[in-house]
Amino acid sequence: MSTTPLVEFRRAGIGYDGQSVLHVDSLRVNAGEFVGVVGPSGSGKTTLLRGLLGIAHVYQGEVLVDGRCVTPRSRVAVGYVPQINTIDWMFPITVEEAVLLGNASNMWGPWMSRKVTEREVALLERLGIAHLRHKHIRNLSGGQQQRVFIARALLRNPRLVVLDEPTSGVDIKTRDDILHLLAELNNDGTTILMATHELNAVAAHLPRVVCIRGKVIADGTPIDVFTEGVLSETFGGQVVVVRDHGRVIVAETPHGFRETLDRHSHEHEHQHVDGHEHEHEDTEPEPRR
Amino acid sequence: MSFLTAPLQYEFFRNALLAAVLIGSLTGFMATFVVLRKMSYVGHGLSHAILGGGVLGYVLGLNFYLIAGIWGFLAALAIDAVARTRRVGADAAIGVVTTAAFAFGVLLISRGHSFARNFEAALFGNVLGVTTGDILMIAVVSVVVVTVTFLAYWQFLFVTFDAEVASVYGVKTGVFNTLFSLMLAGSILVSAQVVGVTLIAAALVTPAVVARFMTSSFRVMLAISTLAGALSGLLGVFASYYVDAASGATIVLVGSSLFVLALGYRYARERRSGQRAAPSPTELDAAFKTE
Repeated sequence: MSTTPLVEFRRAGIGYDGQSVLHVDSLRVNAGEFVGVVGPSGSGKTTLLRGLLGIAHVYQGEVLVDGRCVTPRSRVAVGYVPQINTIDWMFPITVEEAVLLGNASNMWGPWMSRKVTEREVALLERLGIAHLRHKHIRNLSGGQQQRVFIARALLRNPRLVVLDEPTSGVDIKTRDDILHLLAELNNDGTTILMATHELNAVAAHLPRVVCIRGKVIADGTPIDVFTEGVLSETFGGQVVVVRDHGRVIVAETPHGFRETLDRHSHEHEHQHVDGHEHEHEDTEPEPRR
Repeated sequence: MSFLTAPLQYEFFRNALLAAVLIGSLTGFMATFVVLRKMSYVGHGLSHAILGGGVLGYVLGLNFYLIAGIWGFLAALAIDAVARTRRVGADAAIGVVTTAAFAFGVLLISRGHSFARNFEAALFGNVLGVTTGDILMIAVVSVVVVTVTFLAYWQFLFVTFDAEVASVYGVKTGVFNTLFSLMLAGSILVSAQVVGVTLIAAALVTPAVVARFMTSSFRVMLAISTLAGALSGLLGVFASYYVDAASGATIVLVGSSLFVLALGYRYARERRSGQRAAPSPTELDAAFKTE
């Protein structure tokens, strides 16, 4: 593994229209890592990715990819999978054409080289969508659509692949398939940086997570980072974290759940004070911490 | 058959036919990009801007193509620059820039220069007055546009599909947007004489809409749109000759008829295949987010 990080943010202020919306004092991603970036909507997840892609402005500090400073005029070769809801699904384009766009800057003329076509077919086969090559991208399932854009990102065999919400809007099985696929790519040596809302998916699949909310709140393994304190600071509300046999599960808090817990806890203390103990079958047990 | 061959004995008709078919093909070709970039009003706006430049050239006694071309190109660049600020959409940029460029021409006309006849021809088209020089100019622009698009096919496709992501993948979006502006201004400039500035918007939109109803492939859409434009030019000139009407109007009306046919084809195909294709999960997601 190289000692120089593949991605490095140094006191970077990133934003749009002359205003920084995200400040990253220090963040390093080494070659071969698989990193998830989590945070609430508007926390700067997409801005972080766009900063290293050269789409968002870096107003202070610097962002380096592979040792080179990223600017809108000097971008580095990375594979990028944008949010799927930014795609124009009415655009007349087939799966094959969408994937080959990944090599657009190197192709002259409407034809494509045999080498590129072979790579495209091999990628589609690996991702299990080779039979859909000539289909319009709209006529695919959500998971298949994501695979198309992952294939495009991989066409030039980049060292770094950046994905913005690759599991949004897909069912749990598809989400699991996509994350396994990304883990496979990572095992093959591709560095992956992914923004997501899926905390449990990150906890289950990713070795490293960065929580952000206008700045980096925490950075480390999901076991270390996913605590109620960190997640409450990141998401600005109460979050329940369940730890079970080395797994971390972030639970949603239904209305009244916290109040029930508090009441149960309060009654429990009160009963101890009174010297009485009763079983309460109608209250939910407090999660193990 | 004499119905078709009789007008061909006249040189002016042969010139008109050739010019209309070339212009139809050129605008049909460009229409694919115009429609997919969601710039349908750019033809309308730029043609008016070019008219303003043409008037300026006339007043200064300079070459019409040169001045009008530069004027149109600058307007196209300004539209692109304003739209890229992301503060307003391309439609608003087109509205502001091209009306200003047109207003400049109107100002010069209102200052007392009399060229009412030329002005009418520019507004509504005069294909029967096309000269060999005009045809040569149209041919040169067509060859340049098709060659540039052919060579940079994938770059233009990516920039049209998603310019922001294209830039991440190393496509020089600024260069290709500028090239597109230049090609669009050139196409409108040479088309204005035939179709007229008021009707050029239709020539730069209708063929692509016809093609979009027929296919879901970019390549095929490009081919059908070019053919639909050429067919509109061919039939429109014959209609203009026999009905004794402005060529721009007949060319556009033939295009509109093709649109109705394509719409009918699409409707019949969807009925034959049962129901309309169900929206994908992402489309449903997008629809709910919009609401």
